[in-house]
Amino acid sequence: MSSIRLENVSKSFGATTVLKPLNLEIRSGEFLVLLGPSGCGKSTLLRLIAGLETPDSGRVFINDRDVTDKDPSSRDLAMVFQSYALYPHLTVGENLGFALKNRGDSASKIQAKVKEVGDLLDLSSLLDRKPKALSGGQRQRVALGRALTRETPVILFDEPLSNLDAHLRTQMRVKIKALHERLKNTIVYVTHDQVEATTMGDRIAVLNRGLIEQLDTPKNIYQSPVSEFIARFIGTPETCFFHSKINAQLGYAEKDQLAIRPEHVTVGSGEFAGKVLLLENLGAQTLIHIESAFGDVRALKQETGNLKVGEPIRFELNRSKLMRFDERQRETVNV
Amino acid sequence: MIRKTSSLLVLFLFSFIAVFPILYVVAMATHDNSAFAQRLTDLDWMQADLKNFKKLILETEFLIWLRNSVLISITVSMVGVSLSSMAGYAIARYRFPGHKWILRSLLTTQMFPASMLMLPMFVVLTQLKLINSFVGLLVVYSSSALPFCIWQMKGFFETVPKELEEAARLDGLSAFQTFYRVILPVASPALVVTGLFTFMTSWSEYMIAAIVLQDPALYTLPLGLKSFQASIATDWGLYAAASLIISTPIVALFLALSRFLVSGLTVGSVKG
Repeated sequence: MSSIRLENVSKSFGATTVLKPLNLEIRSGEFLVLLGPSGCGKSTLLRLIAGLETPDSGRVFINDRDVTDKDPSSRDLAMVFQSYALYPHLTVGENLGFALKNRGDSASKIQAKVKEVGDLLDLSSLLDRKPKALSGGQRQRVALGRALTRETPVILFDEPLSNLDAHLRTQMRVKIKALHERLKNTIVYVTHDQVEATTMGDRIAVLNRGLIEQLDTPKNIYQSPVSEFIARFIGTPETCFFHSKINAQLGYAEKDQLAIRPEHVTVGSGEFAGKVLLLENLGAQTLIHIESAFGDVRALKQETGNLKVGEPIRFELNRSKLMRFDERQRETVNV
Repeated sequence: MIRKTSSLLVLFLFSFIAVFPILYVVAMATHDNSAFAQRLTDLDWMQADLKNFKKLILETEFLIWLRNSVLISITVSMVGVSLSSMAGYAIARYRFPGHKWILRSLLTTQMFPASMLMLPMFVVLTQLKLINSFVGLLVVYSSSALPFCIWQMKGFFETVPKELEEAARLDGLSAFQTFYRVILPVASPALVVTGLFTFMTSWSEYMIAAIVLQDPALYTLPLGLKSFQASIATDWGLYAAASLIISTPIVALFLALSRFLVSGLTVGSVKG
C-alpha cells in the first residue's frame, strides 16, 4: 500500500483561491475522508492527488515519491467519479477490463480479473450490458469495479454515492467499507455527508474555505471539535449554540461561544426553564426544541409522554460536555 | 378526433407536396420524353419501363461520373470528418494562444456566399496548377466544408463530460489515445452527421465543380447531369433517371445512419 503526503499545497482558479497552503499526511492503508461543505476545496484537493490538477505551490508525494509533475497515469492510483464516468460505448466487462487491456495484460488475465471483480460486486450477470442499460446503483458498482480491477494501492473517491438514493447509499457505504477492510488500499474519500464520513473514515479531514480545519478520528471530531464551524457542521441533530448573555450564569466569559450536543441535554427536571417550541419525531427518539434564555435548546428523548408544544419544560445541561469556543476558535482554524 | 383528423390532413397535404415532384421524376424516368409535357394522371403507367436507365448506363458516361462523384465525396467526407474532429476537439478542450481568433475566423468564413469566392479561388487554383484536377476540387470542397464541420464537432465535444477523459487518463491513456479510444467512439453521432453533411455537399455541388473541372472525363454527377441539357432539346428521361440514381445514395445513407442521428451515445456514461 502507499502513503500520500501533501506539503504546502495550494491552488487557485483565476482570482479565486480554492486551497490555501496546506499539509496533509495520509497513512498507508488508511481510509481518510475529506469532508466539508460545497466549495471548501475537498474535490480540488483530491484532484491534486490524482494529478488532474497541478498545484500552484507545494509538492505531492505518493509513497515518498514526488509525483507533483507526474501524469495521472503514472501515479498508480484509481479514481471513482461522482458522475460514474463509465465509457458509454463499452460493455460493463469491457469497462472493467479497459485499463488492463490498455497496459497490455493478456486476454486470459483480463478475463479472470473482470470475473473476480464482477463476482465481488454482483456484476457477473451484467457484464455484457452497456452503461445505459444499468440503474444508478449498478453504474456506481461498475465505477467501483473499474477502480478495483487495476489493483492500485491508492483509490480516490469523489462523492461516489451522492447520486444514489438513501437505501442504495447505505448499501454501497457498507460495501466500500467492507472492501477496504479486506483489501486495505489507501483510500481518500470526498464527501459532504457527515454520516458517510463518520461511518467510513479511519480519520476525517474537515475542510473549510480552503483549509483543513481539523484532522482526527471521527470520534474525536464529534466529541472535541476544534472550532465552532466543526461543531456546527458535524453532528445530527445539530449542536445547540447558546446566546452569549447566559455565559456568565454558566461561569464563562461573554466573548466565548458555548454549545452542547442535544444528547447532553436532559428534560423533565433541572435548573433551567423553557417552553416546548417543537417536537420532531426522529423514529427511535424525539427531538424537543425548547425556547429558553439560552436560545433554541434541543434535547433528545426516547419517550416524551404527553409533552405538547407550548408547555413549560425544565431541562438540565451536562456541564462536563459543554463545548467552549474562544475568539480564535470562532474563526476558521488551520491545523 | 377532429383535431387528430385535421392533423392527419395537414400532414398528408405536406407529404403530398413533398412527394409530388419525386413522382414526377419517376414518371419521366420510366416514360419517353413526352411524359415531360403530360399530367401524371394522363400517363399510361402500364407503359412504364427502364429504357432510360439502360440508356443512361450503356450509352452515356454516367458510370464514370458516378465513380468520380463517389471518389470525391468519400474523400471529402473522410478529410472533413478527420480534420474537423481533431480541430473541434482541440478547440473545445484546450485553451491556446489564438483560440478565440481561430473561432472568429471560422465563423467569419461562413458569412460570405460561396459565389463571392469563385474568382479568387479560380485564380489561386490556376496558380497552383490545380485547375481541372480532383485535388483542386478536394481542396476547395474540404476547405469550404471545414469551418462548419469544426463548429459542429466543437459543439458536440463540449457536451461530452470531461470526467470521461479524466477517467481515461487515470486508466493510463495518453491524450491522443483518449481522443481516439474514448472520445471518438462517443462522438460517433456527431461524426456521422458531419460525414453526411460533407458527403451531401460535395455529392450535389455544381458551381465549384463547373469552374474547376473542364475535362468531361473528370465530371462529377451534377456536371454530367447538366450535360444532358442541350440548347435545342433536352433528354428529360435520361435526366430524370440520372436524378433518381443520384438521390439514392443520400436516401440510403440517411436510412442506414438514422439511428445515430436520433440518439446520443453518451447516455448512461455519467449521471444525468
